[in-house]
Amino acid sequence: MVNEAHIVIIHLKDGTCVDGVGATAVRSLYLVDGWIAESIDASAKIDATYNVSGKLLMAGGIDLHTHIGGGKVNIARLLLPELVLPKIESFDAHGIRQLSAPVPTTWETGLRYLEMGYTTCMEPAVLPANARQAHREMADIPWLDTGGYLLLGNDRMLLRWLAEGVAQEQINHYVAWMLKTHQCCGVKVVNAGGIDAFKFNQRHLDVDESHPVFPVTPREILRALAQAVDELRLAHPLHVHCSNLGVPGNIASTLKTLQAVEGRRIHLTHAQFHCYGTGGPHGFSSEAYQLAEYVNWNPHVTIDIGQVLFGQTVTISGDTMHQFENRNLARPRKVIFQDLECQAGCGVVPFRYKQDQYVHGLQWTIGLELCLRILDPTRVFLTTDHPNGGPFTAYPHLIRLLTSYDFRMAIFERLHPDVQASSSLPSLKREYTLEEIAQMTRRGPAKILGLHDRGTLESGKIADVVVYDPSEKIDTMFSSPTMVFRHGELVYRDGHPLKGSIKTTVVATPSIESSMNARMNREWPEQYGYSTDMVRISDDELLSSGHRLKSSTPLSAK
Amino acid sequence: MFCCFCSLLCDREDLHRGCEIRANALTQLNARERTSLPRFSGSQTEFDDLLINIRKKLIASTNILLTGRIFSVETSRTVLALARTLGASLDASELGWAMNNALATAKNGAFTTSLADARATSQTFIVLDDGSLLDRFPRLPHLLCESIQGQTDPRTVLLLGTPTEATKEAWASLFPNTWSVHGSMEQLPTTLNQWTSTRNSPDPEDSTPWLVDLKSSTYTSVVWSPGSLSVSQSDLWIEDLMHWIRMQNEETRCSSLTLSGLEATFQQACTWTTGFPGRIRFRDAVPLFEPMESNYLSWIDRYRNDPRASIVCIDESARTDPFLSKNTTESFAGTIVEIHGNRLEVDQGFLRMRLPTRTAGFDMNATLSRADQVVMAFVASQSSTAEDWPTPSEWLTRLTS
Repeated sequence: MVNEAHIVIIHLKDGTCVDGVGATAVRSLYLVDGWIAESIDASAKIDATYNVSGKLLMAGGIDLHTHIGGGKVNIARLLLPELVLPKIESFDAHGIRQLSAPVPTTWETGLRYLEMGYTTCMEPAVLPANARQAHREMADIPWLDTGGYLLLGNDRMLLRWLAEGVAQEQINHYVAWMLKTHQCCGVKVVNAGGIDAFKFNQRHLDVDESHPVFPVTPREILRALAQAVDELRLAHPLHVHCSNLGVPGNIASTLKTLQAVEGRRIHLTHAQFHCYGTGGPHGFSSEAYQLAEYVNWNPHVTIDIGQVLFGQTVTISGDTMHQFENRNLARPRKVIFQDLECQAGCGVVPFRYKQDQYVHGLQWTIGLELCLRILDPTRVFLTTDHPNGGPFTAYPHLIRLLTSYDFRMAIFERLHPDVQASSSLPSLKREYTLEEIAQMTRRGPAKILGLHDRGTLESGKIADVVVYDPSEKIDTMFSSPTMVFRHGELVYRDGHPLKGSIKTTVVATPSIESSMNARMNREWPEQYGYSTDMVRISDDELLSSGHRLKSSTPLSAK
Repeated sequence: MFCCFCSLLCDREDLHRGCEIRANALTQLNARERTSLPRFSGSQTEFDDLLINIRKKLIASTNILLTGRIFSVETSRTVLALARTLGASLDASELGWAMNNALATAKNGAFTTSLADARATSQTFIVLDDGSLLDRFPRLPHLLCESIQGQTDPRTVLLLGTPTEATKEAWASLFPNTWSVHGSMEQLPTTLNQWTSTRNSPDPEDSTPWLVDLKSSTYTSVVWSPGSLSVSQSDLWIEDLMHWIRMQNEETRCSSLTLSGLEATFQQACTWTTGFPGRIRFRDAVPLFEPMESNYLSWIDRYRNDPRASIVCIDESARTDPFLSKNTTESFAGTIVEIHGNRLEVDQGFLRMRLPTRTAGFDMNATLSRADQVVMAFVASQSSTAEDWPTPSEWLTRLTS
C-alpha cells in the first residue's frame, strides 16, 4: 500500500480479531486514513502503535432497529419527566447499564452505544412528515453513524393508488421519490393499512381484510412495497412490523405476512412480539418454533428479536391500533396517541415488564428461543426494539444469555412456574460463539443494510474497530471496551469518550423518474394542503447540519 | 414561499394574500427603521467594546438566565450548549402556556392529531376559541378546508367559547355548516362531557343539528391553542379536555389539534437535548427540570437585587414588542444582554446591552416546527439584511469564544 505523508496510520498490534467471517486469529491491523488494512508499505511511517496482544478486536457494532430519533421518541421523553434520574453511572442487578431515562437524551444515546462498541444505528420508523426532525435529532447523537427507514404502507396517497389499481411502476417511482425526498435508506411498514384504518374507527385489520375506505388489504400493500423495494434494488429488504402486534395467536397472521411478499426479501422486525399462540393455561403460548423453522427454510427472510427485559420502559410505536389496546396497561397510567398527517400514527405507552408475570416471562423466553433456534446468525439480529422491549444497554447481558446456557437457566428458574412448565428453552442447549456474536451484531446487519464498507475487520473496511479486554463475564467485556476507533480515530479509551468524530447519514439513492416530480408537485398539495417544499430535504441541507452522506450499496443487477 | 410569521408556516400564495400577521411583519421588517446599532446603557457604542463588556459581565456573573423568543433549531442548539457551559437557567416559554401544555401532557398524556389528518379525516371540527384564535392563526380555516380550489367544505364546524363575529364569518365562508355556541371557556370540557354523555340514549334535545353531527361523527378534531385559552388553571382545564377526548375514543375517534406557537421548536430541541421541554437549570452540566423556579419571571424576581446576575435574551422573532418589558425588568440590578431581531426602539434607562441580529426564516435560514409539532420545515432566508448582522448563534459564539 502506498503511504502518503499526510495519511494517519495506526497500528493495532497482535490482537485476536473476531470478525464474523470465520477467520478468528491473532494478527495486526493497520488503520490507514480511516480504513482497515492488513499490511502497509515497509517504509510507511506509523503514527501510533497500540499493543493489543491478549485483547479481542471486533468491528463496530451495528444496531439495525433502535428508536433513537423523531417525534415519537421525543414525545416519550416529554411524557415521562418523573422517570429521569439526574446522573446514572451504575449497573443494575443483571449487570445492565442503567439509562437516566427510558428514552435518554441524544448525547447519552451516543455515549451509551459507544461504551458498548456500537458505531452505527438505524432509526426504524421515520414518519415522512417528521423526517426532518428525525434527522436533526440524530445529527445531535455523537459518535454514531445513523440512518432511517421511511414509514410507508399507511400513507393515504399510496393506499388510494393501490385501491385504484395503478401500475406497479408508479408505486416503484413513488417509493423512490419518497426515499430521496426524506433522505432515508429503507422502507418500513407498520401494521400495513391498519394505522389508517384505525383513523376510521376500525379496531382490527387482518392480513386479508380490506381497509374500510380504500379497498385494499395488508397483503396487497406488502406485496406492492416488497416488489418496489426489490425492483428499485434497495439494499435493505422491506422492514415489516406485522398486523397483530402482541396479540395471542398472531403467529397465523405473521406467517401470512411473510407469505404475502411472494418470495421477495423481507425483514421481520421485533419478531418476538409476533409469534404467539393461544395454548396453555393462560391462552398465551410460544410459537417461536414455527417462526424459526420458517426462517431456517426461507433464505429471503431475516428477523430481529425485540427481546424483552424486566423493568420499567416505555413502548413507542406507529401502530396506534394495537397500542390503543394496551392503553389500560400503562404504568405510569398515562398515554399519548397521535394521528399523523395521513401517513401513520404514534402510540406511547409506558410499561413495566415483570419477571414474575406469566406473559412477560414467556416473552423473555420467546426472544431467546428465536435466537437459539435460527441456525444462521447472519439472519437473526440482536435487538430490544429499544425502548420497547428494554434498553439497548442490555445487549452485553443478552450476549451473555446467548453464550451461556447456565446463565440463562439461572434466570429462567426465577420465572413464573407456568413459564417454566411450558417453555422449551431448557432443551435448547446451544451456546453462541464469539464468531457468531460478531455475525449477529456486525457482519449480518451490515450485509442487509448494504453497508459493505463495514461489519468486519477485513482489509478495505471502514476503521470502526473495538478493542475488548477478554473476561469470563462476557457481559462485562462487551459493556466496557478498552478502546473504540471510529473512522480510524480513537474516540473512546478506558471508560472515557475522547472527542466527537465525523457523523455519516446512510441514505438510499434510487433514481427518480422525472415524471414523478411533476405528479407529486400536483398531487401532494391536494393530499396534504401544502407543497412538497415543506418536506423535501436536500443533500445540501443535511450536509449543512453536520451530516456526511453515505449511500447504502444497491443490490447488484442480476 | 414559506411564511414564518406564525407557526402555520403557510406556503401558498393564496394564503399569504390578506394575512394581517404577514403584512404587519413584512411592513415592519422592511421598514429598515430598526435599531441597528449596538447599544450600551441606552447609548450607541462600538461592537468590539460591547462584546468585551458583555464577556466581562458574564464571566463575573454568579447566576445567568438565558431566555427569549427562540424559534429555530439552529439557535436552540447554540443556546442549549451555552447554557450547559455557563451553568445557566433556561426558559423560553414566553407566556407560560406552552409549558403548561407540556406539563399537562406529562401529567395525563394526550390524544392529538396533525393538520393534514384533521383536514382530511375529520367529519366534525370543534373549535375552542376565546376570540383570539384567528388572531394567532389567521389562515387556520383555509388550512382545514379540504378544497384548495375555493369551493366550500360541507363538514360541520362547531365554534365554542367566545368567538367574535369576524371569526364566525371566517369559518362560515369556507364551512357553511358552521355553528356557534357561546359559553364560558372555563366550563368547556364539562359542557362537552354533558353533550356526549347521552351518545347512545335517545334525548329530545338531541335534535339540534350540530349535536346530531357531533354524536354521529366518527372522527372529531378538537381545534384549540393553549395560547388562546383564557382560563384560570390551564393545566387542569387541559387535563379535563384530554380526559373527554380519551373517553370519546372508547367508542369512536377523536383527537386534539393542539396549535403551538413558534417557540415549540425550542421545546422540541430542548427535549431531545436535555430530556425536558424547558425551564431547566444546568448544574455541573446536568440539566435539572424546574418548572416553577426556572420560570424566567420567577428567576428575575429572585435575582432582581443581585448585581452579579445576568440575563441574556435572544429574540429571533419578527415581533416589535420587546420580550423583556420595562415592567418586568424594572429595578433589576444585574446585566441584561439583548440579542434581538426586532427593530423597534424600546425603553431605555436601565442597564441593557443590545446586539442586532436576524429574524428566523426571514433573513436567516431556520428550521421551524409547525403548529402541530409534527412537520418541521426548513425555511430559507428570504431577504438579505443590508447590515449583514450576525445570526443569534454567531453572536452567542462570539460572546463565549
